[in-house]
Amino acid sequence: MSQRQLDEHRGYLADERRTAAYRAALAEVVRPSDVVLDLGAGTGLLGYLACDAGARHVIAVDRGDILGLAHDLAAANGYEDRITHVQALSTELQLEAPIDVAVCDQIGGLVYDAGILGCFADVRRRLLAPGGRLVPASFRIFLAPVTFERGRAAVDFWAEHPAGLDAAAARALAANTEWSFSVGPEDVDALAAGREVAAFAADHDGPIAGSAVFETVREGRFDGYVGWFEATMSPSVTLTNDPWGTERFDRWCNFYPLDGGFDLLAGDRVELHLDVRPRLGVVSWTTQVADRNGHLHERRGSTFNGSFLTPATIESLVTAQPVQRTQRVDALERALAMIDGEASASDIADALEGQIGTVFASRSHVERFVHSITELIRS
Amino acid sequence: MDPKGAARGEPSFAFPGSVLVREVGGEMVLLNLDSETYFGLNRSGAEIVARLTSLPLDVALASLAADFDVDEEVLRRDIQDLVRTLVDAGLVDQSNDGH
Repeated sequence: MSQRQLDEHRGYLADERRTAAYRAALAEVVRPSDVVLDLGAGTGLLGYLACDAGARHVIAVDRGDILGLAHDLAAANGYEDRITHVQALSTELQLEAPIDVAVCDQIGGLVYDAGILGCFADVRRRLLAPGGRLVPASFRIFLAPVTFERGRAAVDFWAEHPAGLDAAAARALAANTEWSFSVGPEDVDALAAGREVAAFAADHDGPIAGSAVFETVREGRFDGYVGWFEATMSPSVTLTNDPWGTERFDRWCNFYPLDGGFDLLAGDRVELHLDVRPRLGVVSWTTQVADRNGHLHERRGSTFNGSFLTPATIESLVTAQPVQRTQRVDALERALAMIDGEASASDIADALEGQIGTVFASRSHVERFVHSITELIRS
Repeated sequence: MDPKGAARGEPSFAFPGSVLVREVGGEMVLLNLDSETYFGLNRSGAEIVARLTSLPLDVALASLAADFDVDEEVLRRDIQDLVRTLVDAGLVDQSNDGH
């Protein structure tokens, strides 16, 4: 495990509010005969909470090697007999019988920036019994216009000629980036109270859009929006990363910059429209400010304008463009022709070795190519 | 194409609010959020669309004919084809009755 992975999971286990919310929700939702699916299980904590809530069995799924640790922790804590560990993407998971409850914490800072919606939609379609339950069950997302020094500095850094460079191109990307910040009330000054922008079920599988109107309560520089969510975990349990909430759990919030900022007076009207396309990974936020003189100012931010784009990536995005045949296609065909249930990955790499210097840079590149094929076709 | 807007000096075509536009290395990428589809325009297409969405049609045509060194009628026909494709894909609106 890397230090980053260790720190990430230490953060999850150290967060008592998160654990308490999942414990209370699962105690409310899980019934004694239930089979529970723990998606993105990590160290397996949510599965252990499901066992404590009385689950008959837990299937803990995670793509990562951390599942080995989850197995050890389950054994060390007496859950071994009630948990099956499966190393796979949940979308690749095949089960013999439907499950009763699915639990997941791939919620990110504002739900759609993590994987929960797509995973739960797939679980609902393929794996969940009729009447099955999801934890969390639904979400509300909120945004507030703020003065936020750290957020503004993250964007403006690129306009300050770092290392003597004209980095204006990077500033344009930064102004169209969905940022993540750990924030509390001491970090951000709200220009108006947060408003709910959208609400949706945890298995919502499509675009998310919503609008909100804010009337500023004080004068200040409008640097952008801070966004957070409230998850309905079960009928009586909620979980939130609201930066001003006294019961917030330890989770970052998203920040959407307002390019160039805007000086607001108390009583100004700010209108926001948020448009999220989870399938594309594109978030757009359009702001209209009506100032005291009756002038309307519009600014639009979008992660579409904040991503690196090169002719090669454009070619991959534009699906109507012809796919070019390259030497790699020949290598791929050769590799596929060798897959007969007998040849090993090493045999296939040996067969492609003659293309080092033309198609591949080295033996390790050949091996990576073959590995990517075996990953792709793994059942 | 018979733009009424040209008389007012306004562009005849505009990108709808549901279309995001980005120029990369002289080419143009358009994302139609309604259909969730990306479209790419090469340098020539990008230049034509940039002018159609920023200039009155007759001004855009004249400037393109001069810059691309082609007959204005041929250019007009090519642009009609391009505009039809873009309008059908929901990537531009005829903001001032350009046909």
